[in-house]
Amino acid sequence: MNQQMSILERLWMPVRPYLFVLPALLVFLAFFLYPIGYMIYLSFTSWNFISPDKEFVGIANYLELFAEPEFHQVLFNTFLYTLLTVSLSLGISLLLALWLNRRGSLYGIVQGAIFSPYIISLVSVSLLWMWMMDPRYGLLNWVLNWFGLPPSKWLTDTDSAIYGLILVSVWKIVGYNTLVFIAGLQSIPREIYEAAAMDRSPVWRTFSKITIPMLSPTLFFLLVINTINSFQVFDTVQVMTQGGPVNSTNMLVYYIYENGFDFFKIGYASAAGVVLLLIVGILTVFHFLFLSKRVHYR
Amino acid sequence: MAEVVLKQIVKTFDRQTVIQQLDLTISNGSFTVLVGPSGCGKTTTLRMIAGLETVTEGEIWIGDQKVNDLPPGKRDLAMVFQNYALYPTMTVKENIEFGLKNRKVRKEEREQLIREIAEIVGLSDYLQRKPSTLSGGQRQRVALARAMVKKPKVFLMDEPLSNLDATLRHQMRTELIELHKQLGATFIYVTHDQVEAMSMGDQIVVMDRGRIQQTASPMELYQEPANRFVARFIGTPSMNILTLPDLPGLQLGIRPERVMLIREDGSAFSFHAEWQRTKPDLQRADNPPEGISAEGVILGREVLGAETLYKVQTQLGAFAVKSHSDLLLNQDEKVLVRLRKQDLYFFDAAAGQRVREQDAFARHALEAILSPLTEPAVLGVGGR
Repeated sequence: MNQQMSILERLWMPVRPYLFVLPALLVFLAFFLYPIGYMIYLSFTSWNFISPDKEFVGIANYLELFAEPEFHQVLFNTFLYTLLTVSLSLGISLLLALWLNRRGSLYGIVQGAIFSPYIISLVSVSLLWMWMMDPRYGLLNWVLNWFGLPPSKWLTDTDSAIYGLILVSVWKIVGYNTLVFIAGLQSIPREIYEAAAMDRSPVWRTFSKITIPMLSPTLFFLLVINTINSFQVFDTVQVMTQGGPVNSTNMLVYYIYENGFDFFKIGYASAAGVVLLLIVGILTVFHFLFLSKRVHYR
Repeated sequence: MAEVVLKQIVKTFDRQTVIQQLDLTISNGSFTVLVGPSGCGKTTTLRMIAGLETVTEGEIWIGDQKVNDLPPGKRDLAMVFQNYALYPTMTVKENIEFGLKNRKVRKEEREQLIREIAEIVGLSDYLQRKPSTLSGGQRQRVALARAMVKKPKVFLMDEPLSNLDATLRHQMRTELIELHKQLGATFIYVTHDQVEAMSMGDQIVVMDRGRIQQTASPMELYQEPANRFVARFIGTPSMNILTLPDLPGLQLGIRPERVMLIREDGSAFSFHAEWQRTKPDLQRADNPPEGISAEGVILGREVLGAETLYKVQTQLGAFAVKSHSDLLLNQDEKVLVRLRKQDLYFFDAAAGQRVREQDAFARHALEAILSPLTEPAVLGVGGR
């Protein structure tokens, strides 16, 4: 009897852990791996979304994609948008966090105010900013005028439209980043700063040698998250500019959407999707390979 | 080298006064220990000296300089924090070097100093390690090295040993005493542990509720406590405080280790070396020493090995007795209790101030309770 039990157990034991993770694994397979695999498959076909036939075309979609000047523009826009959004929002958030990381009701109110855009729907935010950026009646031009500066055409000019989008996204995520930075700052023990004061450390040195290294896990987390999010910008483009004027604000995810669901070039859109996946993947791997060494985890 | 003087220091946090009118002189080269229960203001006092806390009122002088408005780094002090406060992102070497770099010490000189200090604290092999890979004792040494390398006039230490285990704490205690002798600098040391205070300090400042209760050498604190608080704070177990109907307005203090218990068969317990010297006197019939005699019953005991703690019920009240005898008394056993006159302390029942024997009040009290300590001749059979 005992022998039998142990045989059963011997069969059961290696299976058991897989059974525990099976539900999660199924969800992961159905909603993550399968769509990615299917997208990769579609990127090698020509399909109009309706026809029952998916014609296999090999790497033709990719060749077309890389030959297309519009796509180059889209890639450039996306990189520019990501670079500026991430660097500006991280920089501004860090400064705000350093200022707001103290007690007092004023600081609490400012923290709440800065965070509030983060909880508002991006579509509402976009509409609000479109109204403010209106070249003739908008608040922003009124402010520029008040300072005696020339008005800007904002979203209607090919030169300034992308900066308008960057402004909106920075405004939206600064609150979240600030909050995470404040949490990071508060986890730095006060004694370390006191020890630095006893060591006669100047303010900038305390910042660069103590605050930044101690904050590196937070900084790293925000860098990765913000980069991935910026690469996937869609709502603001869709609501505010539809990629225009003259493609100047068209970015990867909007480009995929446009080709897939407006022009019904599913294979082509899938190829662009694969490119997005690769870029984000490579960037994230790069972050982990080259930056995580400099991150100090306690 | 410098003397640290606190003049009429007041510290208020959010309208709550935590330090009241504190006057203290810490002489050059002394090992001064600030000791008291938590919330007594000892750490706040240390932090005010360091400059990490502003002074609400009063003046702090280090040497011949008033330092109230001087930033911490300019006061020529070094501090060892309770949790070490090492810079976790820097190596041991960088930790030690940080203060030197800020002082713009030249690189060759820095290397030289770090080598020397690392040698002294035994960290030479760990210079390239991060603090997180070190043990508690090693981190403690890094903190010490970081303080020492600056060659400050005054060392401030805020419970630096409280995170170490008992053995290591003991060892570090000895090392700190040695270090103090070697460096000859002024040490100001904060602890809540009276044993640590007594074993390390040459001047002990006992604090309670934001006031200095007494400043004295360890032996003086033990033998001549200024008030009930100090008397109870120094020594384990605490001094017994008894309220007797014969002594209106006064309280009687008895140290547990100074009580003699005598078994009914005459064998003696719980004696202090002092008692053995008194023994011949006790047996002298013509001029016996004075003291208190009472009868008692053992209520309970704790055997600690080297010593035994008893709880004894007498007509004076119940109190603790510490015995160094290897023989054990059992619960409910009847004993004779003897107290010598010189081991009795009197305190003002309301204010807690010590009332000395010279005081007429105390003399009157003594007359009321003292009697000659005549003892059975068998005394001396027991003991160790």
